[in-house]
Parts: sequence; structure tokens; C-alpha cells
Amino acid sequence: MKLVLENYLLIFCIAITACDCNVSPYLKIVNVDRLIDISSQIVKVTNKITFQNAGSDSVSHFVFTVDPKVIDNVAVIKGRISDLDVSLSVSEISVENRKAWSIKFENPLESGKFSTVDVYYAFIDYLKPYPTKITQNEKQFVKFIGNSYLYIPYHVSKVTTSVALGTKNVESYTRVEPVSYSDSHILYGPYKDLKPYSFHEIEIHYENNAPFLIASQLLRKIEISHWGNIAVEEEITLEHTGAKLKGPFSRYDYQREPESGLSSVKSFKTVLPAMATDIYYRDEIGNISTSHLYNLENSIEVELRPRFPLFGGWNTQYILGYNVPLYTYLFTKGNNYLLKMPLIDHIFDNMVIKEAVIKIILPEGSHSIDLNLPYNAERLPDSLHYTYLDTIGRPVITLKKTNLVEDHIDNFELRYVFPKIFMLLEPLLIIGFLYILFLTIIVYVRLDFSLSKDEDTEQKLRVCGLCSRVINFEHKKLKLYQSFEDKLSALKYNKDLNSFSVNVKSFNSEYKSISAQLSELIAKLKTESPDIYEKVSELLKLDKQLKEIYSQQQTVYVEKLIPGKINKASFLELENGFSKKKEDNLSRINKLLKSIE
Amino acid sequence: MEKIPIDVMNPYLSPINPILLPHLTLILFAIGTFFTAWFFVYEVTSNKYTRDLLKEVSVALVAAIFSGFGILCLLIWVGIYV
Amino acid sequence: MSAFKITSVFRMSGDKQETVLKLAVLTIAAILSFAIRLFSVLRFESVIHEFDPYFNYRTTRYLAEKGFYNFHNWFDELAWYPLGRIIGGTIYPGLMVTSASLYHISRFFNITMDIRNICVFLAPLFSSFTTIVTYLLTKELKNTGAGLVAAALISIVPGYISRSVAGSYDNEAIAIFCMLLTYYGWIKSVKTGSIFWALFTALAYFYMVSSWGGYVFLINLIPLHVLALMVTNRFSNRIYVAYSVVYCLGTVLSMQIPFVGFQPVQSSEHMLALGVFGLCQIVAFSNYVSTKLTGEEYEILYKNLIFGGIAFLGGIGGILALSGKIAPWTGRFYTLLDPSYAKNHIPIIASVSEHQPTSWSSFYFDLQSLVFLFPTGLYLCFHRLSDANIFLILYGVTSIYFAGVMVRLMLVLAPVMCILSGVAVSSLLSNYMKDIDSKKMTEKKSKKSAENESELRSQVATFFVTGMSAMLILYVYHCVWVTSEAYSSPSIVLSARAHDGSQVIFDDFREAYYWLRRNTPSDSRIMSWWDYGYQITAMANRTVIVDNNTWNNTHISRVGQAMASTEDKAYEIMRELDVDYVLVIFGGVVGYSSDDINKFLWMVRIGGSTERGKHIKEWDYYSPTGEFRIDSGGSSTMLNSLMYKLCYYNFGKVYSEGHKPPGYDRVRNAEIGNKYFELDKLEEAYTTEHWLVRIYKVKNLSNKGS
Repeated sequence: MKLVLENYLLIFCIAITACDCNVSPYLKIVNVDRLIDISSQIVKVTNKITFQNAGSDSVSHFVFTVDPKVIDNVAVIKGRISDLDVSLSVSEISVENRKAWSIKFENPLESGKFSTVDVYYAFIDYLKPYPTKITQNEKQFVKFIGNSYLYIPYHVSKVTTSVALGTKNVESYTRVEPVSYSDSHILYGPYKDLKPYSFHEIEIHYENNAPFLIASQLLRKIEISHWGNIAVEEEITLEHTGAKLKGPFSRYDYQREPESGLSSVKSFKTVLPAMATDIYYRDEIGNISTSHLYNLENSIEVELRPRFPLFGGWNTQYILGYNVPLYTYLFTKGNNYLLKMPLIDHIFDNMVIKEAVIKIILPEGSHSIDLNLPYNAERLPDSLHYTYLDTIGRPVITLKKTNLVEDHIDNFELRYVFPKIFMLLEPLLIIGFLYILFLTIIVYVRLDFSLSKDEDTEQKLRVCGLCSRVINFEHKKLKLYQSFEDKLSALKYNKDLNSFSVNVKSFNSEYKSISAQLSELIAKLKTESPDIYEKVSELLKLDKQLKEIYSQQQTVYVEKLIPGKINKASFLELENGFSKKKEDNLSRINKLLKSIE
Repeated sequence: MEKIPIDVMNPYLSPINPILLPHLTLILFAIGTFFTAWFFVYEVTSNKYTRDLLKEVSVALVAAIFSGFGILCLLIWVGIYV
Repeated sequence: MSAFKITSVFRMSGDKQETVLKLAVLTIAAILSFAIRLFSVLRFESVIHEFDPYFNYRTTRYLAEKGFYNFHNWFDELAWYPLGRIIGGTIYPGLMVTSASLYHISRFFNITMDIRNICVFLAPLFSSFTTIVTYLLTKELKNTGAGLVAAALISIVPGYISRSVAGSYDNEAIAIFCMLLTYYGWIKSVKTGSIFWALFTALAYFYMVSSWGGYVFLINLIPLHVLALMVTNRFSNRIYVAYSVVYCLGTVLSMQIPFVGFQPVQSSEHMLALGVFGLCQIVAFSNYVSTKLTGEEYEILYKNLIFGGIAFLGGIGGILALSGKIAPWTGRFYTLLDPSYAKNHIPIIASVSEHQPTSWSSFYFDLQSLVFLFPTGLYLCFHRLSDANIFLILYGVTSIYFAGVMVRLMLVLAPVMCILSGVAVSSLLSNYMKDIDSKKMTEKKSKKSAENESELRSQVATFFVTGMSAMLILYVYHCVWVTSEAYSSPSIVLSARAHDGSQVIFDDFREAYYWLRRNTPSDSRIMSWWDYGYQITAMANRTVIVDNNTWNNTHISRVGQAMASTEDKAYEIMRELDVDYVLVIFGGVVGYSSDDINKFLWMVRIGGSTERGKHIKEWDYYSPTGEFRIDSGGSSTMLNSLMYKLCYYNFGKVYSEGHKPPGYDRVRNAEIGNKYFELDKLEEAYTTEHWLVRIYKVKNLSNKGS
């Protein structure tokens, strides 16, 4: 099992040949502007670093390190060319047995040249509330411990560090001259000529009422159906990790005092794909009715309100699901498919996910699965998922990743082969099931477990069967008459005797065969039930009369009407007579048929 | 295996247009129900001397096919993407 | 001119037309009975309703997850702290087993339906089955026409819908089906006298016993039927075979249910069945003997046998009753015979609204025109008396009595109302439909004088048929209206109309339960009035002191005492019961009237009904003028009770309604009398958005001062 997948670089997919872990002694840092944003629960650091190559050879990369204190909390690290939107490739290495990152310049830095890059990194789970417990009406204060210098294996000529607090309410901060404090910012430096790995601890104690909300568990299921849908379902456990609530919760204060429960989370916004439909928001005990949808231009924003406001130390769990049409994320060529969609999606602003498990459920029958990830993730063993109309199970790919932030919202690419014939499996399954059901009924009605046969009912059934066959034959005959009728009227207009005589022949032969079968039946009937036999004989007599009328009519047509030996009035008279007789005869036949039904 | 680049691939379209689903469901179901009803009425009213196996089997097949596709469309229509 | 039609495209024999009609009516009725019960799912969501269904849902989930043997041996420590409850031996498992099997079957076919959805839709599903069984039963009792009408009537009768809407996951949901199935089997076996049908009846009876305590009605009705047949001299070998098989097998099978145990041979409720069984043997024996003896000899033997038998049975019964082998009549059964029994003796039975006697209006509300058709049907049964009809008459008369005693038994009455009305409607309509076509009449009689008469008859018939149709149409309107307005609210989610007409949803119950589930230690013990016990264990997954299975009166009484005492006294009781949180329902902010203050008098009564609660007297809680008041005119005991304080804590500052002083209770329509007080021994842990549920934490003061 391949547990760790290849690490794909963001833009430049150049294979890493040699180890990029050596720290070039000729690289110097001329200037660093650091901006540390601690106004939310995440510490976001942007370092604008200007490098100079003091050596003679060109340098292709530089090594970036972070303070040993925060190294395990780093969730994401990115490099780019300053002021340009060009990302640089970052790879994780080890320097002196410690985690570090090697970042490639866009082009190798020539001797004596300068290059300015931005290195952005964010670390989570680091700001600690102090005091750790507050009452409902108190504000939340947190402590930040950081570095006013830059912890890096290069000589730094000048560094300035600006800390953005997002508040004017600061309890205390470490003074390392020169330092100035103004309007929610603390400015440290500039400090000059620092050795590699310089470190000076600063501590800031300030008010931070930003929601300290983390998703301690995320289970994201992506289910693909080739009938046109991607169903996404996220099961999320939310925790408020800020200062814990001490003492009672007063609903009165919470509703009346605007200052009450500032650090609590009442609601948050989740951004979903623009094509998302059928959005549902519920938890294990049912639907949660407090949510609002806002349709934005290229996304859908859902305002989710948990069942209860989240105070420090409280947690909740919910499920958010939606459907996305397949064409937004699935591409195809022949039987090859490519699914390209975000591995994780937005949950709330400045989100932190402690542990995410992502399950991708592919349609039944797909194989040759090949997965490309935007970053490292642990791939758990594949499994099978069974749901409606499944026989061999749907392949499931499971991934696991810890410590995720918004910067991890990125597309994965999943290629697989799906023979189209598998689409037919599902309808065939239903049809087969129904058909078996019908066949069972067919068999069931034929079962007969009775030990002794009741002769009376048997006979009745037999007679009934014979009768129904008689009726069938009679109906066939009537149909024949009908067609004969049509042919006669056709003859009246087109006067085509030849085709008519052919028709009459076929009519006669059919008539004869039916009559023969009928007389066979009647012979049987005679022994079974005399009174029905009588009725049927009556029926046959009537039928004969009817036939007689038709042959008379035929004679009139063939011998008189076509040669023109009859005038119109007398023909009409004859014709009326025939139809009257026929109607009379027919009604009697129908009556008889009804009676033997 | 050779990877097919994304730019030669086309967005995937489902075999049944979702807009048509309700109509399709109703039509298929109507036909299916008709044949199912026919089948049942035939089974109930006929006895062992009047039954015709071929007729039963063929009516059942038609009923199964139409109802089967009807159920499939219904499932997709109500949001159970099988 | 000459081209007239000889055959039509569709030719259908009368037989086939009838089959098509029958199938169509039955299918539509079955679908309708399913569909009409879905109002609440469409309006709210697929959710379990009310109180008891939550317990059934929880146990079903346990059964589905852990298997039957674990379920059978389940000791539930979440309820009745510290006593716990043996679930396997104290419930009727039929309902849970039914849905768990459905769940496993659908899982087997890879139909991944949630167990919750199976539970929610089980009642409508069984209502559909009931519709079909009603048709079969009525067909046996009368004819196909009556069967179809009865099936159509029962598919939408409100008296049955009230307990079988989607989400109302209770024993009754399947019990009515089982009951009618048993009756069907019984009628079949009485008619045929075949052991096969008697066996079928016994199995159906077993299913009934496994699913509802109401089986007692059934096991008394069938013997009653046999007895009536004996009295009317209709006893025959068919009935002998049917009853002997049904009784023996049914009793042995019913004893397999742990909750029933040996009751069928010990408790007095089952004695009628046993007695009739004995009587059957005697009668059959004497019938046999009479064929062998002369009239005189037989006469002597007969008298001796009768007196001897009665004396013997009486003696045995007396000995067993004295030795305590025959269980005494249970309170609930006394209530059936004497409606005022419970009110005078057992407050816990009387406090349940569904155990109240039925009012006249609710008969009309639940049955509408069936109330008028019922006597007609009964008359028609008497008109042409048969073995089966006698059963119908007995069923009708006894169930109408029981429905009068207890609202909840309206459920047993509804099916027989539908069957009898079906008989009535069908017979009347088929009588009058014949007369409606006057031409046919004249053809037959072809006399001048008859023409006038038939003209009149035709007019009367038209009038009557129109009237009947109108009545049936009104019935449909009424049923749909009642279902939609009265029986389709899940009661776990409340909804109201805002001033601008939009719907406001109060989801406070689940808000509170979910808060408990997520944010209290998993072993916390919650004290609340027993109504909410099942919901708390199911939704909050926390231990409760008392719940809706009101088997231990002293325990409930202890909780009542805590609620009725002052904070200090209550604290002692709560420490004794190891309570961590107290949960009360308070409707004063939104005007939800079935809250704990309105139930408070029952807590006082039940609290005062045991030895340890002797000091709690109902009169202390009334104002000097004898009213139950919460404003400044209320008694001081009332205003200082724990329940009062928990409900109204901090409420004195709230403006709940415009132009009214703060602390205005919208349910009682009064300004509360005790406004500004603090709690010493408890603290507010959580209050929901609309103040409907308030949860308090019991402070741990044992280490005070250290």
C-alpha cells in the first residue's frame, strides 16, 4: 500500500533530483519586512525577504525555517515572488534534524543579484486564552509568544516586525527597543545585523474576541453517480477552543446585553459551490431549521446557526450536504473519466480543521483509479460501499489529513475508467427483480396442493375454459365479418372484382379453419355440459345465418351491382334489408356470448 | 497508463436530462401500471383451463420493463442517485 | 351506412370489470391511507413524534445495532436512576422486531435506508396493510361491496390516523393491523372450521400479543363471541375446533413474550377465555353424549354436569384467588369498568390526558358520519343474523363502551365503526341504486299504476343516493381537515404564525436536548418531570431519574416532591437522587400551554400521594380563594416552590408582550408574583432561545468552605 503519495508541486512540476537541503553560505538577506497577523485564531505570518547572492555561483533555492516552538503547529507554508502572483515551489526537508523547507527561486539567483520573495506561513492551535476561563459577560484575552527577529539560517542585515492585533485593547507587550504601538499595530524594529537563527521572544497579551472555532473532525463524503450528480456530505464536529465559560449561562443577559458573550459563536457562514442544490443541514437528532441561503455571483453562501450558541469549551456536531451537477467537476473522453474538485471546501472563515477524512465514492464498476493530490495526505485502504441497487460494490478511496486551513482548499485530480455498459446494470436489476416477482405469481397460481379433486368445480372450470375459447373463436369470426364488411364497401367504390375474389378466398379459408376448431370444441362441450352446449349450438346457428346473409350480400354485389344489373333504389332496399338482418343477428349473438361468459 | 490531458476531455453530461425526468417517470409509470394491472387482472380472472402461458409471460415482461425504467427514473428524480 | 361496428377494442367480461374495480379501489385506498399520514413529514421533516415513540425508536435502534439477544437481555442504566430498567422483560417487542427486520431485509438488498426513516414510515405502511385486511374482514362478514367501502372508510378515519401518522412510532401503529388480522383469521376459522385458519388466527394473535397490551380486549372478545354463539344455540363442531386451537396455541404462544409471562393463566383478565375453553369442552362432550343417550337420561346428565362444572370452576378460582395465584385486577383495568376509579385512586393514571373519558364531541371529531352510519350497520347485522355477524355486533358494542371510558381506546372503535358503516353504506346504496332507473321498473311491470309509483321510487332513490354521496364527500373533507390540523404536528417541533403570516418554528426541545448531549458529562443525571424522560434518553443520551414508563410510583412521587418543595428541601432530595441537572419546560414567553407550571398540580398530587410526601398538600398551592395562581395573589408555598423558581428565574425582567409589565406570563395571562430572587443551590446552565426549556445545574456544595 502506497501510504504517502507523491508531492506535487504547485506550478513547476520539476522532479527534485538532488537534495535541496544545503544552506548556501553565500546567500545573504538584505532586508526583511515581517507582518504577523494575530487578529484571528490563526497566526498568519508574511515575510517579505530580499536575498542577495554574495557568492560567485548561482543559487537555485533557499532554506526557510521557523521557530522551534511553533514548528509542529505550522499548517501551511507558501512562497511567491514579491508583488507578483507567481508561486514558488516549496518542499519539505530536514536541516539539523529539524523540519525545514526548501524554496526554489523562479530562476537561479546569479552572483551579486537581488531577489525579493514573500514567504507566507500560518500556524494554528497556538494562541492561548488567558485567563483560561471567563464568565459570560467578560471579554476574551489571549497571549501570543513570538519572535521579533527572523529565525532563519542566513545572516540578516535588517528586520522589521509588525504585529497586527485587530484590537486596541492590549494588556501588555514585550518592549524590545525600538518598538512603537499605534492603532492596533505593534511595530518592532528595525533591528540590524542579526546572526543566523536569531531569536528574541516577545509576548503580547491582548483582547481577541474572534471565534476560536475549530473543526476537530471533518468527514467529507463525495459520491459520484453517473446519472448526473455528485453528492457531497460533510459531517463536522465543531469546538470552541477559546476561554472556557465559567459559571452560569444567562439567556436573559445573552438576549439583552450586547456586550454579553462576545467571544461566543452564534452563527457562521459556509461558502458552497455556485451550482450546489438540495442543501440540507441537520444533525443526529434531526433537521436544524436555522439556516439561510444567499445566492452570490459565483458561489452560494449558507449562514449556519448551530442549535445553541457556542461558548468556550462547548461543542456541537452537524451534517451539511448538497448536490452538485456532474458536469461541473467531471470530464470524460471515451471510457476515461477525470474528476477534478476541491479536496476540502470552505467551512467558515479562518477555519481550522484538526483532522479531515475524505471519502470519494466512485460508481460501481470503475477501475484503474489514479489519484493526484495537491498536497500530501495519508491514503487509507480502499474499501467498497454498498447502497441502492449495488451488486459488486462501489470503490471508495479514503484519505486522511490533519491540520488544515483555508489555504488547503485546492483541487485533486482523480482518473478512472468506467465502462458505460455498467450504467445498464441498475435498470436491469430492477427489471429482473420485477420479472421474477411476476414469474413467481405465474407459478403460484398454477400450484395446486389439494389431495382430492372436487369433480363438480373441476367440471365447471373445464366448461368455463371451453366457453372462453368458444368466445374467443366467435370474436375472431366477428372480426372476420368486420373485415369482410370493409371489403364489401371497398368493392362498392373501386369495383375491383379480382382483388375482391382473392380476399374472399382467404376469408373463406380462415373461416373454415375457425369453424373446424369450433366444432371440435363443441363436441367436447356436449359431454361436459348439455345446457351450455345448447346455447353454443344456438350460437352456431345464428352464426350460420349471419354467414348466409353475407354470402347473399356478396352475390348481390358480384352479380348485380358490379355488372350494373340493378338500379340504385332497389339496391339500397336490399342493402337496408341486409344490414337490418345483420344487426338483429349480431345483437342476438352478443346476448348469447354474454350469457355463456 | 497514459494520462489523457484535461483539455482534450469534455465535461460529462448525464444520459438523461434532469428536466425530462418527471415526464419520463410519469409516462413510463403509466405504461408500466397499465401492463401490471392487465397482468394481475388476467391472473386473477383466468383459471387453469383458460390460461395462456405465452400471454402471461409476455405481458409480465412488458410490465417489468416499463415499471423498471419508471422506478429508475423515479429514484433519480427524487434524489436517490443510484 | 353499412359499415357498422361489430366488435369493440376492449372487451371485458363482467368478472374482469369487477376485478379491475376491486384492485383499483383497494390500491387507491391503500395508497391514500399511506399518503394522508405524511402531512407532518412534508410540513416539518421525517422525525419521530411525541414521547413514547422516542423510547420505541431508541430500543429499535439498539435492536438493529446489537441484535436480538443483546436486546433481550438489555439492562438500561439510562432510565430510572439508580434503579435502571430491564428493557427485554418490560416491553412488547413486536414493534421493534418488525422494524428491525424490515431494516435488515432492506440492508440485505442494499437499500440503505436509515433506521429512523423506517420507524417514521412504519405506521403509514401498516395503515395500508390495515386497509387491505379491513377489506378482507368485511368481505367475510358481509360482501365485497361492503368490504371496499369499509376499506375506503378506514383508510382516512381520523380516529385511527391520530395514532398512525408518519413519525407516530408507537405500538398501536401495528397493533390495529394485527388485531384485524386476528379477527379475519377468526371469522375464517369460524366459517370453515379448518385447523389451518385456526392456526393462522393463533399466529396473528401471537403477533398482536407481542405488539400491544390491548390484546386483552381481543382475548376477551373471542371467548365472548363463542359464549354468545352457545347461548344462541349456534355452537357447532366448527366453532369447537376453531376455539380450541386458537385458545390453546394462542395462549402458549403469548406466554413466550417475557412481559406477558404467566399472566394468561393467572390474571383475572384472561379468565373468561379459560372458562369458555372449559365450557366448550363440556358442551362438545354433552353434544356427543346426547347422540348416544335417550332424552331423559341426557337431561339428568346435563343438569349435573352444568352444576358440577360451575361449582368446580368456582372452587378452583376461589382457591387460586385466595392463594394469590390469580393476579389482582390492575388499575388500568378497573378504569375500564369504572371510569371514575383512577381519578379517585391513582393520580398517575388520571394525569395522562389519553386516559380521560371521551367527550361526545370527540366521537364526532374522530369518526364524523360514521357515528350515524354505525347504528344502521348494527341494525343490518341484526337483520340477517349469522355466526360472523354476531361477532361484529359484539365487537361494535363492547368497543363503543371502552371508547367511551378512555379516549385512547377510540382506536379500537374506529375499525369496527368503519366496518359497520361500510356494511350500511353498501347495503343502502345497492338497494337504492336499483330503483334509480325508472325505465327498467316500468319495463318489468308495464302497468299504468306501477309507472307512477316507480317514478316516485326513482325520485326517492335519487335523492337518497345524492344525500349519501354528499355525506361521504363531507366525510373525506372532514378527515383531511382533521388530519392536517389536529393530528399532524410532531409536538417536538412547534410552529406558529408570525404577525406577517410567515411560519415561525420553535425548535427549543431539540436545542436543549442537543445541548445536553454535547455539553454535559456523559454520566450526568437529569431530573425532569416524567413526560420528558423518553425524549431525554433518546435525544440527549443522558440518564434520567423518571420516564414515561411510569412503573415506580414512589420514584415519580419523589421527583414530584422535589419540584413542589422549597429550594433547600428540594436540594436534599436532589442530592439523595444524585441529580446533576434539572430540566423544566416553561411556556410563559411564547405561550406554550402544556408546560410544567400547568402540570404542576399533578406533581403536587403525585408527590403527596406517598408516605414520604405526606406533608405536601394540594391546598397549600391554591390561593386563599381556592384558585391556582402564579401572580401576587398565589399562595406563598406556590411562589417559593422549586418549580416556580426554576421556571421564572430571571423572567421578572423580561418584557414578553407589549403594553404589559415585565414578567408577564403569556400562558397564565398574569404578571408573576415573585420576581426578583436568586438561586443558591442551582445555577442556570442553559435556556433555549424561546425560553421553552430551562436547564439548571445542581451546584456541588459538599466541599463548601474548603
